[in-house]
Amino acid sequence: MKRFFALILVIILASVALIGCGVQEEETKEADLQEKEVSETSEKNTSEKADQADEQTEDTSSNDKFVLIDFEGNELVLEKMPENIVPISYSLALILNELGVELAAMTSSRRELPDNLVDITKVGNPMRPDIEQIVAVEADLVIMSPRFLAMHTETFKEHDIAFIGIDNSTYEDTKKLIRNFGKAFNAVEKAQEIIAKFEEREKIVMDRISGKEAPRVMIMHGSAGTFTLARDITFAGSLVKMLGGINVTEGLPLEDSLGAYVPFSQEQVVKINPDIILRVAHGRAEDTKKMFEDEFNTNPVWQEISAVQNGRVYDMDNALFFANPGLRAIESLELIAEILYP
Amino acid sequence: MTSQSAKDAQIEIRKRLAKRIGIFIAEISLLVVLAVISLRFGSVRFSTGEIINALIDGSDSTIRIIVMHIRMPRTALAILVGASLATSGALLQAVLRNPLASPGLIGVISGASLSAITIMLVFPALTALVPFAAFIGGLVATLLVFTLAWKKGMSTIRIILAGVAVNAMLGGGTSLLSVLYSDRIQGIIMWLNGTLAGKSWDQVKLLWPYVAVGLLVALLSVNVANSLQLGDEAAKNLGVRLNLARTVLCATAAFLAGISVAVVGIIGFIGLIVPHVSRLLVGSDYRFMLPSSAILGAVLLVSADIVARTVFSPIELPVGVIMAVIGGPFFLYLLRKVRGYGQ
Repeated sequence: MKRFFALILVIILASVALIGCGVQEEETKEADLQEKEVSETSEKNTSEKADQADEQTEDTSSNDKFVLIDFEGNELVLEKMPENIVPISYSLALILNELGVELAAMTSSRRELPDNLVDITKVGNPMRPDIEQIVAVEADLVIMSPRFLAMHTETFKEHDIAFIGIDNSTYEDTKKLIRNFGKAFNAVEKAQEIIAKFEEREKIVMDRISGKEAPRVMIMHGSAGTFTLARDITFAGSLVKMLGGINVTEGLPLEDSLGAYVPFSQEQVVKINPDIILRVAHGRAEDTKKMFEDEFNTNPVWQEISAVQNGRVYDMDNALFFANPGLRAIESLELIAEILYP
Repeated sequence: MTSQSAKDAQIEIRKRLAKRIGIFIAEISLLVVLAVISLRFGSVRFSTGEIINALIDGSDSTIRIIVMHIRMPRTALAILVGASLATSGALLQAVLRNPLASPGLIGVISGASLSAITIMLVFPALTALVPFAAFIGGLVATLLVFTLAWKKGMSTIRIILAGVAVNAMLGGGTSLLSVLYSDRIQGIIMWLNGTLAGKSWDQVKLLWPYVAVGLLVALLSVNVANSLQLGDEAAKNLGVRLNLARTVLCATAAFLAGISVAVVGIIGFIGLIVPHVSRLLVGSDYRFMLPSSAILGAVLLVSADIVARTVFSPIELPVGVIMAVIGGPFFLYLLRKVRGYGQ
């Protein structure tokens, strides 16, 4: 009997160890992916081509084919309108829902959902969507961020499910993709309505800030001791740039080959002496504040920076700034405008 | 005839002593020079004159802040951490009589990682507690390793195996957390890659008393370390109480590594390679090898940090990566150069 238990124990331990090893191996494989996974505001892979070809051709509504333009400006053509659509991105799901597109399933999220999306099937996080669930809802179109495309291409091909990468990094990306979704899903009017609202509010903001002096802005991420700075290719960075702010990471060497977040020298921060510091983290604004507060109060280096001296340090709500919130992107723009040009 | 050979032996011993003292002086001078260079150069360029003026009459507060509150604490921290990690590795290599022994082996680093990461990912609002949690986590994991290895005394092979097993378990926990909270991983990458960036005098003040105690205990146990190297039987014959000696030395090593990891995150390589470099230079007598390890650890970390913050300025590179890149080839060079090592 004793021997039997020992055997069971060994088997359990062995399986635990095997799982541990498996996870570790995967971890290294995914290290760089995880690095970029974090937010929807990662690098823009969009090529020049995409900028030129971003407008959907008008002939989609005239025949029965479904045409949607992806992040590289290529057309995805399906024989008929997809019926079981699965977006594995929170922001994209909300945009599709707003356009009146029925969703078969969507990515799991801790963020708030509109009532009619609460009970639909959830398929896990964008990095590891649950392929069983996706197959179970008989998905015929999966929509995701281009950053996860390479990871999942083989899987979706194997199950013969159409898939497309849609970029939702910057504010302009959001407007572009709403327009494209509108055309593809026969919801042009609704899309125009949303965009009109965006542009109306955008104009108020832009009119108000025109002619004002551009502040130097630093967008900190992480915690005070070990922080990275967000560049213009992140969502928050793109808003600052759009509003004429000068990001302290501008003009870095090797700019094109860098990621969205860079570890930055504290010495340079003191020298550049930013007017405004925006602190973004993965928690709520109050949590972010707690993460930085201690270090900012005690370390004389921070006290030297004019943003701190003038009390222009702001903790951003991650729901609006960590990732591009899609439909609420205009709120993010308004908030940053308020901060940059009070 | 016998008196002649005795004389020769004495001359030989004196020669070796002179050589060792020479090496010591060289190492210390190197450290001093590097510390000055580390204050002089950084990611922002100033002239020597500007720095001296700012320090003496406090004329330019930007330069003053940068040199006094960024570069100085950073250099001091590099010296403390470098010395601690190298000493920790040297002690473990003596106790475990294994050339691959390093602070990572006895669970202290994986334990510290797991608890630090838990705080950073799951309870981000408590981030200020990370150093404390990392230290406790490291100690608990080490304790676990030794409890598992203890069976009517402690054998080196059991410590190593228990260490490997505990590391695997804790590593699994770390991986699990980083998968579950993959959306938050960005915030911990800097910590996982150990950095001296963004550190202030607060961290130095926090660290130095502990480092002082740890290094003192390590220096007091050089004779025991020497005996342990000879093997269990020989050590016993020399009057060393094996279990007590192992426990004290391992605890000191874990303590030194634990406080370092708590303050600067994970910096590998020093604890493994520096003791070997030191042994190649001054021989394996711990009376010389241990202090030399501490100095070389500081030298290596200070120089790696200078490179890390200047080459791609204003971008900071992880200091651990730099260390592996510059330290690795140097070690290999020594390994080929010194005859008889590793035979």
